[in-house]
Amino acid sequence: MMDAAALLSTLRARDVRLWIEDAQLKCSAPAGVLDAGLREALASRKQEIMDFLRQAEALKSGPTSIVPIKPGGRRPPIFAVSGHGGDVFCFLPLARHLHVEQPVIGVQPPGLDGTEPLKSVEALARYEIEQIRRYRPGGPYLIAGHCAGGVLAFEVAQQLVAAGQEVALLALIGSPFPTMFGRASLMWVRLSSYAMALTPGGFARKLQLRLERQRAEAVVGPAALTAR
Amino acid sequence: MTAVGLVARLRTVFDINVELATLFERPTIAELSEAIDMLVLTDHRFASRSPSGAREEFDL
Repeated sequence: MMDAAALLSTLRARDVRLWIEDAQLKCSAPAGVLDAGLREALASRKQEIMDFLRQAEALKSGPTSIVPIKPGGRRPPIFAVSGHGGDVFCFLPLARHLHVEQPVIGVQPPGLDGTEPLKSVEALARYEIEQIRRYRPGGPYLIAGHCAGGVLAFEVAQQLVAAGQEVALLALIGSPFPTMFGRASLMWVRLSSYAMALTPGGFARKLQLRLERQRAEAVVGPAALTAR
Repeated sequence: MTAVGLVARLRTVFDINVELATLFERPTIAELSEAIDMLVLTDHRFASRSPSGAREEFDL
């Protein structure tokens, strides 16, 4: 017994096209391709095929910036804005450790799927707020950002407050702070990384970073990565 | 592999666009493969291989 996917696969190989129009299942096939067996399979699996096509359409409903990291729960959701990698999957372990009633919703920037990316923090914040407010039109808003995402989270919170919305939580996790790039702070980072490099784990980490850098250079070219 | 990397690989290998949200809604390999099937089998960009040949069209 074939399931809907297997049947569609067989039909596709024979250049048979199926689609839904006005709640009606339509079929277009090269003349003579549909034998009695296939016709019967089509007729008996009509509902299944329609369900399959509808689910497939839902998957293609266009790029969505809202990523349901942990959608369930009655509390106001925490919106996790994107960080330096552009994706919000780093929040998954944290989301799993939060209260069962605490939803966590990720917000992705445009550009990950080959569309034009946004290039300023302000523009990114405006975009992500649009997505957040479409998902939840009224506050209070809980905003979190990890690493570089902290800067974005801060800007998102500022713009929300400027728009008269309540921001009940702004969580910056391991984020850069204004004095981070000061001389003393950079010196400390450098010294601690030297100390780290002397430990066995540090050496492995160093190798891993070098590998990651090589891979990144292979993708974007060395010019795009500023030298450290 | 990161999620973004997985989406990129799926695009290269299957020539489909899987949304990141789909990875969350379908966290197991079985569920994801179902989504891949759906996207691949309903992709009609490379339509007819015999465009001149006669076709029959009908409702079911």
